Amino acid sequence: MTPSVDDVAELEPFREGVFDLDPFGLRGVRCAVGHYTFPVRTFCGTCKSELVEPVPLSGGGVLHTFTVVRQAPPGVSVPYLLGYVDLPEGCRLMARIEPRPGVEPAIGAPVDLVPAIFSDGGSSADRLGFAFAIRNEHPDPKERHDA
Amino acid sequence: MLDPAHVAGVGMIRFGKYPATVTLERMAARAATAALADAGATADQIDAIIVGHVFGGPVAGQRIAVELGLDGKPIANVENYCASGATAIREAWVALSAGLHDVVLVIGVEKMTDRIFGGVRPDPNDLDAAVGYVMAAGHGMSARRYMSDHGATRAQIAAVAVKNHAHSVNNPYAQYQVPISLEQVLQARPIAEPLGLLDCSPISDGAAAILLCNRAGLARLGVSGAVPRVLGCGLVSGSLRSGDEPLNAEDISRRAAQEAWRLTGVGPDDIDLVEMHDCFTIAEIVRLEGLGLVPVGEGARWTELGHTGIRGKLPVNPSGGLLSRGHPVGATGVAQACELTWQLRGTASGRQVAGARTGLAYCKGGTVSGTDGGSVTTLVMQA
Ligand SMILES: [Zn+2]
Repeated sequence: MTPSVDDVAELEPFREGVFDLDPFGLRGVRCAVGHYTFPVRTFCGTCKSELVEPVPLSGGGVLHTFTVVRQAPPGVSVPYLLGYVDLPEGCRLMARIEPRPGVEPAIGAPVDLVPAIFSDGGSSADRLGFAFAIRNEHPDPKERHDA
Repeated sequence: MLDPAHVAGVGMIRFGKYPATVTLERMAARAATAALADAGATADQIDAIIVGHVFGGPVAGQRIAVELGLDGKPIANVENYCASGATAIREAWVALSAGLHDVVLVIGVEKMTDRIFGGVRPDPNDLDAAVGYVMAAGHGMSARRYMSDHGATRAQIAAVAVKNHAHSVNNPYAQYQVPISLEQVLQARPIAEPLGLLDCSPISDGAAAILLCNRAGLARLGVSGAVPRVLGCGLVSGSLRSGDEPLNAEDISRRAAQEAWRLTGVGPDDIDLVEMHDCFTIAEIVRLEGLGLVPVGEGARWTELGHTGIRGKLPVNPSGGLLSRGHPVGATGVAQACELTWQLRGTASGRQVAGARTGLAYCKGGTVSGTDGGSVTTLVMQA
């Protein structure tokens, strides 16, 4: 299940400076030309300009491609979905994709940023990370009501 | 243009799974001894040793050299993940061309089966590794996108494994020497969908060695007559990619090809055969396209039609490639150079490419988040 930010607020982020907590969102930089770079760098990943400013990135994107990983090194529980997500700003980033029951993942599917627990199977503490969840484009009215 | 490096001798051990009691040092020494015997050379004629490995631990090259009686010589350990062995050859070529050394022994070696489980992945510090990236996943995503973009079929991609396993039937150094059927590839246990077990190169142990010389070195070893030459070896690294280009653009392969042509004066039309880093089936296809040897989007169909078979218009992986020979990561680049040497000598028997005069060996090592790769080498050899 996708944890809410409140559920995971006590976890250490898996890495410094990748996302903001309130509101939960990925951080990037934008150069003067308008290129966006993720993660934050001191220069633009596209044109190498050092005139960049930190910006929050969109929480929604589109699944560019994906795989179901069914074998991984010890400490990584399988299966899981991994994909490349295209953000509207022009960034493509790799992330875990959280499946939605009853919705087959597909290239082009809309996805939304969600907090996620990064675990290595217990050899070190769980960390707060990020993932993208497949968007429910046709929400069941009943489900909406329950929520 | 730098002078070529001449191949005085090559040697390798059969790749596969060796017990823990057969050490990395022992495997490397056996390959090196075979290369020296092939050259008719002795250890005291060697000026320097360069060893490519990833998981061999600190100063593996020095531990190996002691086993060979080469203690005291200049030794360098080279790590570029799966391109480590090929990068070691490049370093030797440069040193020989500069006249720093005249005879250099290059060894690629890896002992994986007792330390790597479930597949290889980037360093944990890499952002992609932190979100759950394993190498197989990258290729699964590549394959799905390739099929979507080019209308290629799963079976066409699987045909790479069928083809390369058919080749390795005639390679006594290959880990797997039996043919496999298309059905077997398609029915294999899924690893990173759509790819299954037989789309993936195995976790292997192995070692390969090549003895390289400049002209003075050839004279020292008493080698007369023509021997295959390393004309040069391109090396590029991954560059940051923007989100609007195709996932399988393979710009890193395009740049590596340009480097190969620039360094050697050879062009794509001169290439008679390719030893390609087919760590996964789809990788052979997109990398051939990136190099400019196969039209973009055509690689899967070319494979299905047999164009990349030993008797096709562009023979690829007559050795069986990584899928069949095995993939002890640091050893692979040197094993490719061994295969090209045998092909260019015309001694590859049942897997010989007719009329092989110029060959290209491609390695790709590692991944770096946000870029199109870690390192890529393009080794050009000529009879
Ligand atoms: Zn820019």
